[in-house]
Formats: sequence, structure tokens, C-alpha cells
Amino acid sequence: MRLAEAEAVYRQSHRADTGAAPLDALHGAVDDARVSRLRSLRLLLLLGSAAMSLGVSEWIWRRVAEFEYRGRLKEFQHGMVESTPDEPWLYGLHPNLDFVENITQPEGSPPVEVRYRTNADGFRHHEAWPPRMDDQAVRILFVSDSYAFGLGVQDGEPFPYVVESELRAHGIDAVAINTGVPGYNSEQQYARLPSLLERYRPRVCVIGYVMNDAEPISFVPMPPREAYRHCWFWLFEDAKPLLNRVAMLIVDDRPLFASSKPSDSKDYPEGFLPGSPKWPASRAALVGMHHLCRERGVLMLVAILPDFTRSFDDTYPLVVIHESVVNLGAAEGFPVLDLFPAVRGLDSRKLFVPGDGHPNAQGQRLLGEGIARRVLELLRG
Amino acid sequence: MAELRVTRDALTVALPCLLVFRSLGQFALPEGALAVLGCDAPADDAATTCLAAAMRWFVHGLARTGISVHSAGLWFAATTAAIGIAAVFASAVRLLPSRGAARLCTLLAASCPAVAFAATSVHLHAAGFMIAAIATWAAVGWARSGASWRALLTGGVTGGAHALTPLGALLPLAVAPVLLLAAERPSDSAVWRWPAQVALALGTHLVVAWVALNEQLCAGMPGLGEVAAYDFATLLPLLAREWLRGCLPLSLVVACLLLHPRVHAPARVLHLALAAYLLLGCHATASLGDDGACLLTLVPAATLLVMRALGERRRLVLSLLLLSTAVAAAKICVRADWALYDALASGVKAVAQGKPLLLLTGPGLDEAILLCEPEIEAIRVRQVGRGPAPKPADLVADLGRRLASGQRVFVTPEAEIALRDPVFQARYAQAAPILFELEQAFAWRPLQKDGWHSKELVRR
Repeated sequence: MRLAEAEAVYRQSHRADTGAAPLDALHGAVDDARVSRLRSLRLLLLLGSAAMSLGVSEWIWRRVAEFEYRGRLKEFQHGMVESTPDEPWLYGLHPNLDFVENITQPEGSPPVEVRYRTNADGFRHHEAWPPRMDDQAVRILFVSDSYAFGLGVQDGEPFPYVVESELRAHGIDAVAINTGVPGYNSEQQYARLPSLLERYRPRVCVIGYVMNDAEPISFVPMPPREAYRHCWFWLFEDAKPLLNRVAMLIVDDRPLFASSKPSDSKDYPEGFLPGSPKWPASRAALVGMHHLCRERGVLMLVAILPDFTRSFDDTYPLVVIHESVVNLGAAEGFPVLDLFPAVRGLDSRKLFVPGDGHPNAQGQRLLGEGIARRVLELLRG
Repeated sequence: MAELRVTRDALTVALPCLLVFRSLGQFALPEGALAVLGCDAPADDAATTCLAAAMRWFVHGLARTGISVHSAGLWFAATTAAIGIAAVFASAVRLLPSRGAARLCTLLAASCPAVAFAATSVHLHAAGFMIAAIATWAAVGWARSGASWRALLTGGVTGGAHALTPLGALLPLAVAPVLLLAAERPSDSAVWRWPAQVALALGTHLVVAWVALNEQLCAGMPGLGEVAAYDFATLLPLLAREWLRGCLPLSLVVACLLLHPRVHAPARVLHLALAAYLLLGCHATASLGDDGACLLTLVPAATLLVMRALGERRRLVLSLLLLSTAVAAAKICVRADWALYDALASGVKAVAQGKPLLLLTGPGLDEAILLCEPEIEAIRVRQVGRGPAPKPADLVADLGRRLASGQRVFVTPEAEIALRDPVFQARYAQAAPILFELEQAFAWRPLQKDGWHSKELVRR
């Protein structure tokens, strides 16, 4: 209400007596109301502008993150893989690749030369490609990462081909379809599985679960939608290191804010600790793959492939990962083959490629034989 | 009548403080502070032996009512801190111009991050804060009234503190700024009384400490040579971590008060006390690293000083209070280890499945879990590492017998880290031989359950 109007109302209601003192009080009251209204308005303005600034900053930050990602993507070059940022699996192997890798050997030994070839579909070379699609062929789809692809071993030596030859030796017209791509995690495998099932119509699908399958993508630049998938406020997420530094100065040595961005860790069991988003994401992918296979009447087997760089004895430190997958299989009702017992007690140093860490031909054979026995059981019901 | 009102008001301040502190009770792990609750008194924590004994007596007495030792420890810290806060309030009522200012002063003390942290964790030094606050209250009363019996009381309290912990010897220095503040507006007592009363207070302090410590006034204190050996590289990080950060923003404001025309003298004395605490408490403070634990005794004087200087600038004080509360809240959140405790406790229970199990435990979280779960059988590497008994071979034989009888034995990650740590090995002579014998006799099989990972000892 304006002051003049207020005065008029006051005068009308009190008619005669319009002494100075009551009018002063009235002026004071109106001033107070005005000041208080002004304060509320200021506060509202402050909050509104703060919210708007944050919103705009967040929008700009997201654009910057996208821009940075595009820049990194342009610079990205890899001899074996190509980035496919629009696909949910983010990258794949170059089709028709013929690539030679020299693996540096420790202790001054000459480097080992390994030749990697891929077929037109971008999968590891197979003499009989494309696979036979007739009804007699028992197509076995292998979905995994570098273990199935066979990093460190020559064409024909990765375990899917061992499984194929073992099954053939048992009179089964098996055709191995090895779709292993180095660095794939469970979520990428899950993303790619529908198209693979559609295309190759396999009888059996073997998921090779490797110890780092719960880890985030590290082969290609990670797109922002993946990097910030657990963050609702990107700007705050990227300010956390700075805020933590300030907090170290004024609060405590421990970081005040934990990062929500996925981080690639070499301590794989860490991802299986309560509170970590890694294993839940990997678990969901495994369950999803199980559902996809069940819907299409495909037998699914999850084979847990042990880490060949560790000792295969009582000190093997990744038992928790094996246990978690075995327990998931029991809970969800899909068969799980833990291959650690098959290698337990063996000298792991003789089973991996020095300077690389992936299983060598002998290690691949051990894995293939174990999986073949189980696939045989599954096929025979 | 006025005294009664102050007492009543102090109680109304203390009770909410107690409830707030206890409800915020956390699973923080101030290193070594938890060990004092163990039955095997820590010989390496000689600096606080008497105080630790008092805390143990209180906590174990309370635990007889059926609550866990950890919970009783939290009650101890919250209670002692709340009594301290009440004493700060009673002092502020006497010293500051209004009750509103006294209440703000109390809130400032309670929200000091070091106080809040000590009051909400199983922390021995909350008791140190209480004693300092009581001494401050006695000193304010003495300065205001000029009564000799109050000087006697102040000396008695500081002397008692000296008897409880060697750092208590410095308490007269911590209350000196308060005396200076209160003496700014002296009552009608004659000026000549002051030196006599100060002498009386110091004399009482010495007599009480002398009698209580069996004539060994310097028990537990570092030697002069040891103090002289501390360099700036040791002391500056301590100053930054324990005082500047631990008592933020109080510490910074007190530093600014060195330039304040009215209170620069008490501020200087307070910094003198700070220097003495850092020098004499360096050996304890450096090993604790609990953000101001050993300097809690300076907080009552610092808050009174700040309020005396800034009491009329209400908005500034409110801003300080807000900042202090925010830092304290952040500290409590960041140091609360309930998630770790839950993972550890549920993992141990899942592994045990009701069957007998023995843990070789480390000095931090492990000891804390033992306070919560006293039924878990454990051997503490800190205890066996101290030696001379049991000898490593005896320990291995004992573990072998247990394994033979079907009991499972686990080495926790903390214990393993401690046993392999060169600093720990240097401190505990038996640590390295124990590690060697255990590795020779057993295979260490990794195991992870419900987030708890450890190594199971199995016969080779």
C-alpha cells in the first residue's frame, strides 16, 4: 500500500484526531513493511539469479565436456580398434585387419611377434568365415574381451577355437563364432548381444567373464554420457577435486566428496565392495544377457576366466569376483563355470604371455578344454 | 540467587549439548584413543596414563549397564564435553556483558571443529577440554571476586589436571589470558593482592600435582634436549593442522586479535600458551594427528577472548558461528567410519557363521570393532608386537593349536599393513619376527566377504 493511501485510510478511520505521534508510528509501520518486502524481493532475486547462474554454468560445462570429448575422439588412433561413439558399445575392431604386434619381452629377450587378423565383421580371423548358418551346425557364440579375442596368441589359438575342435572331436558339428573384442566390459557385451544373437542365431552363448569386466571402458575416450552417468550435476562433479583440496586445508585430510565418475582401477575386487557401482552394473548386464538368451531359446553359459598374472594357489586374490559371479548364476538360474579350479595348483607363469599377461596358447587350451566339457554337458541336456 | 540461576542456565546449556553430541556420536577412529579402553593399558601412551585410567574406569563402569564399550566411550566423550561447554557458559556469563553474548560464546565453543570432533567420537581429550573449561570458570570467578579461595580452587583444578596428564602442567598458561581479560575491570580488591593470589594458585597447583604424582612433577614430559630438538619443519605442520585447521575459524580470529587494541595482551599470552603446548605436547600431538586434540584446553580461553573483542558485532560473530558449524559438520561427516565398521562387522559375522574364529587385528578400525563386538576373539598385533611375551614361536604354536582344533584364524588388512610397516616395526620390536614366523608357518589365503577382506591363515 502506498504511504498516501495509508494515510488517507488512517485519517478516515480516525476522522478528527490526527495528531503527529500516531502518524509517525504509521509512517514507521509502512516503512517497516516496505523494507521487509524489499528484503524478501532481494532474497528471491538472489536465489533466482543463483539458480539461473548455476543452470547456465551447468549447460556451458556440459557443452565444454562434449566439445572436449569430440577433440579427444579426433585425436584417437589405435591400430586395432575404431571408435563408434554412436553405438552403445562405443568401439569395435577394424574389419579386415591384418596387424602385427611386437610384444616386448622382459629380461632383454627378443620381442615376440603376434599377427592379428580380423574378418569382414571385425572379429578374430576364422578359417571358415562366414559361419555356416544351416540347421545342422551347432553355432556357439563367444562373447568376451581380450581373452576370447586372444591377445598375445596367433590366429586359431584362442579358446573359442579350442572349444570348437574339442566338440568336433566328440562328434558335434560345432561352429565357433568368436566375437571377443579387447577391453569390452559386461555392459558393452550386453549392448552388443542382441544384434549378435539376431545375426548368428547360436545354439549356445558362452560369456567369458574376465576379472576386469566390471571396470569402466578404458580403450577409447569415454563419452560424457558414460563418464557422468552417476552424476546429476557435472559442474559440481568436476569441481570436486578442487573442493577437496580446499577442504583439506580447512577440514580434514580425507576427501570431503567422493567422485561419482567411473575410474579404471587395477584393484578389481574394489569394484565388488559394497557401495561401488561397478559390480551392480556388471551384474545387471549379466542378468540382461541371461534374459536375452532365454527369450531366444539360447543356452547361456558364463565361464569365469581367472587372471593369469596371479598365482594359482591359496594366495589368488580375486576369489571374491569368482564367488560373486557364481552366486549370481545360482540366484538367477544360469549355469556358471568357474575355471579357477581347472588351473589351481598350476604355475601361472608358464601359462601367460610374458610382457603381455594374457593366456598363452597352453593357457588358452586349458580354458577351451574346460569350457568344451561344460558345453558338451549342456548340449546333451 | 544469581549463582543458582547461572547453574540452572549452565545445565540447560549442557543437556542439549550432551544430547546433540551423543546423537552425532560417530565411528571415527582417533588413533590410539580407542586403545585406552582396552584392558591392557597402553604403555606407549604414557602421556595420558592417568586420564586414560579415569576414562577406562568410567567407560567400563557404564558398560556394566549392558551397553557396548564403544557406546559407553561415546557417552564419556559427550558428557565430558557437555560439562566443559556448561563451564564455558558459566564463565561467559560472568565475563561478557549480556546473556545473549554468553550463549553465542557457548555455541562458538561447542561448534569449534576440534571440540565437536572430540565430543562425538571415543576421544580421551574431551576430558581435557572439560578440565580446561572448569579451570577457566574458576579463574574467571577468582578474577571477578578477588577471593583467595577461588585462587586456591583454580590452582587445585590445574594441579589436578597436571596429575592426570603431563600436558595439564601447562593449564595455568591456558587460563592466564582469561585472568588478564577478567582483570581488565577489576573489582574492588586491592592491586597488591594479585601477585599474592597468583603465587597461591601456582603453589596449590604444585602441591596438588606433587602429592598426586608421588613427587615426580615431570613424569611423562619430554626432556629439555628433546624439546630443543624440535625444528620448524616439525612444528609448523603441527601448528597448521592442530591449531589453525583444528580450531578454525577461532584460531584465525585469535591470531588477528594480536593487533586488537583492547585484547592484544591476553591474545599474546594465549599464543605463548599455544607455543608451549606445541613444544611440550609435540611428541603426543605429532603421533595423534587428531586435529587439535591436545590443544582443546585453549578453546575456552580463545572463545572468551573472541567474544570479548567482537561481542558487539553480532553479525560477524554469527558468521563465525556459521562457518565453525559448517566445518565441524563436514569434519564429523568425513571422519565417520560407520560404513567401514558395518562392512567389517557384517563380513566377520558372515565368515564366522557362529563358529569360533580368531582375528589378528591392527591398531585402528580393528580395535574399534572389538569395542563394539567384544565377543570376537582377537590378538592385537600392537600388544604382541610390544613383546617380550609371547615370543613369535609361541604365537605361531598357539595359532597352530587353534587351527588344529578347527578354529579359523584371520589376519586383518590393518594388522598386515602394520606388521609390514617399517615405522611400526621400529616401534614394536617383535613385529618383524612375528611377520616372518607367520609367513613361514602359514599360507595367507585372501578372502572377501560382504566388503570385508582379510587373509586366512592355513597350514602350509
